[in-house]
Amino acid sequence: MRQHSKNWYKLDNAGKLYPSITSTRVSTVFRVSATLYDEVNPTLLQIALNNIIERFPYYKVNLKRGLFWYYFEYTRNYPVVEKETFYPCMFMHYKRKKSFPFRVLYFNKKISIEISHSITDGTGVVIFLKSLLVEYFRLIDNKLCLEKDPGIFFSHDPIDQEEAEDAFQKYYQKNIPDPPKLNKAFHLPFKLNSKGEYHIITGIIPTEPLLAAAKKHQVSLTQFLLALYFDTIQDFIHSNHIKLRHPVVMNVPVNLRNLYPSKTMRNFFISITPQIDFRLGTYSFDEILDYIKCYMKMAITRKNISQYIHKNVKNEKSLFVRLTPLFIKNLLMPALYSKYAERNFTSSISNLGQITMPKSIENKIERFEFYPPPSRGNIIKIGVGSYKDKIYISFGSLTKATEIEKIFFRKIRKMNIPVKIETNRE
Amino acid sequence: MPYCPKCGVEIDYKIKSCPLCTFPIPKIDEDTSPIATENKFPQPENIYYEELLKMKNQAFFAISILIFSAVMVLMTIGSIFRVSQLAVTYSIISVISAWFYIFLFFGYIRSKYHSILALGFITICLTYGLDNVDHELNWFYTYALPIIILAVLILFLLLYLYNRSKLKNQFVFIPAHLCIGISLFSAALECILDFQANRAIQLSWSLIVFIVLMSIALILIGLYYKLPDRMKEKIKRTLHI
Repeated sequence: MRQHSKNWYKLDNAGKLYPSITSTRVSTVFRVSATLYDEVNPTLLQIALNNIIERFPYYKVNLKRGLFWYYFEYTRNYPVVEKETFYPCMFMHYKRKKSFPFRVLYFNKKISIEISHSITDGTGVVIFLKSLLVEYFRLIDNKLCLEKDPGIFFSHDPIDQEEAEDAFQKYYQKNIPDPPKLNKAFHLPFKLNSKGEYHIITGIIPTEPLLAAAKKHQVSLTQFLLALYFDTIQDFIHSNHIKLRHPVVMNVPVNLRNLYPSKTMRNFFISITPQIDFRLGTYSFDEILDYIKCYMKMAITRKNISQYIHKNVKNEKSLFVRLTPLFIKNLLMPALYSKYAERNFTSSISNLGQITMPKSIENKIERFEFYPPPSRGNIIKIGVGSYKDKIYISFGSLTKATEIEKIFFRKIRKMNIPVKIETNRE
Repeated sequence: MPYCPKCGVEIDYKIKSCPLCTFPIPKIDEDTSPIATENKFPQPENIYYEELLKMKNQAFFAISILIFSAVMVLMTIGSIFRVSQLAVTYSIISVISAWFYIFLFFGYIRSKYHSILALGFITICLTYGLDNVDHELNWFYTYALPIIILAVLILFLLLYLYNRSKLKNQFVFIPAHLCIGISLFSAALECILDFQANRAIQLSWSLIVFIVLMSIALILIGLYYKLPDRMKEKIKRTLHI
């Protein structure tokens, strides 16, 4: 057991919100999974987890209630791997004693990490999963020769103190103005599923033709998929003759580690919000692409992002907010979150990017997938991840309707790009 | 690999209809591919109901302890302090009945018919206990018992109608049948009260309630159920906002 100067730490700026808004429908839990070519050995996976969790002490914690805020307390217990039985990304009782804010699941050839957003973001969990996989394969073959990779931590590596920092506080600038406020967005008019159900539809697409299509329009893959998603929603609105009252607004999380030199393994992202008002008329795909290209270029700059960091940290630092007891925060937060966050987005698209593994184990893993957290406000969300020559686009949905997914993937098929669909729907 | 002819997407062997458009997928010989037997997802269970039951049990356990403590406190007060034994007995009977009502409210009895029966039985026990505190039954047999039996019968009737009815629109069904239930209950209630008081039945206020509520119920059901589509459309056209 490693010695810590103190046995607890504060939740980061983004993470502070999540325990208070968690409910049966809004689990705030997302999943990153890896599918291997061989059956998972649960005993070895447990040993690998026990070994690697020591390298991630900031995840080996239990959530505790303070008088004013939640906090994480280091624990001597070890998380236990479980066989996957429930729908993905279901709520976890991590507020309960001795519960971890994540779970490691296995099913046939798949290893999944489901983690609460209160502790980390997609980048953090990808590094955690990759490190767990490396440890797992090292246990299977102890002669495995692995080259150094900045995205993988070995169990014996020294821990960098920067990994546990709250990067939002570090890069907070005090005297700058707030970003412009958002208004209410259009919401997809679908009926919600029964509680406890979360449907996933994953489209498996070869990266090369999709990337070529994006390059043809001189945009990145994320921008291309975002444009496609806007176009999908536009088609859905037109085909169903929906009278719009609000613009379509997307929530696109941006990994700030690419903008700021932070090594943090906790949350460090800001959501940018491209929006198109389809009341102005029908947008061609090229028009949507042009808008997104320009918007992204303007939005993803340190100056613009620092405004969002400023706003979030300023709210947290407010004396009134700090002195409000936790039980009142828990009562108010869900309503405030709905009013100032979810209500202002139509959906979200989050891209983890290309995930790579060391050459020696690259061919032992078939794929990586990313499932977004279910949310009542945005009942359909997209999580994207790429591995080797394929891209995995997963729609997480709290509704039985599949209209959006159908239009989206048919659009890709019309570009003559093959799509394979997998789902957990019955 | 099978394809959806409509969407053009490839899907797994085991899937019988397209996950995107639900179009039935033509059968392909499963033995041709080794991947055919591989499950990508477990048969998912719904965690919600399991967790809900756990939480419900915890809440019911806490309430049971509270009620047990309340009974103990009342008994202690009754034996130590000089308070009216009648008041203490009334309180104890009410608190114990509350526990049974909470048990019902938590939905531990699955069948709705059994729940109504249990509701009636608990209420009979409660009223019997309350009337019998002074070891003399004054109003239990004459008023409480017939009214409770009447209420249970009406609830049974409404539930039966709900289960049998083709009218599944809850916004029409529930108000309409609530009107029927209340109108029947008020008429029967006045009969009981009148008979016990005057040994004769002469309906007055309940008749007004009966006529008004029955009319509302019949209009609601009639408009929704029996009205021809042409008429429904005409009403919609004329009254649309």
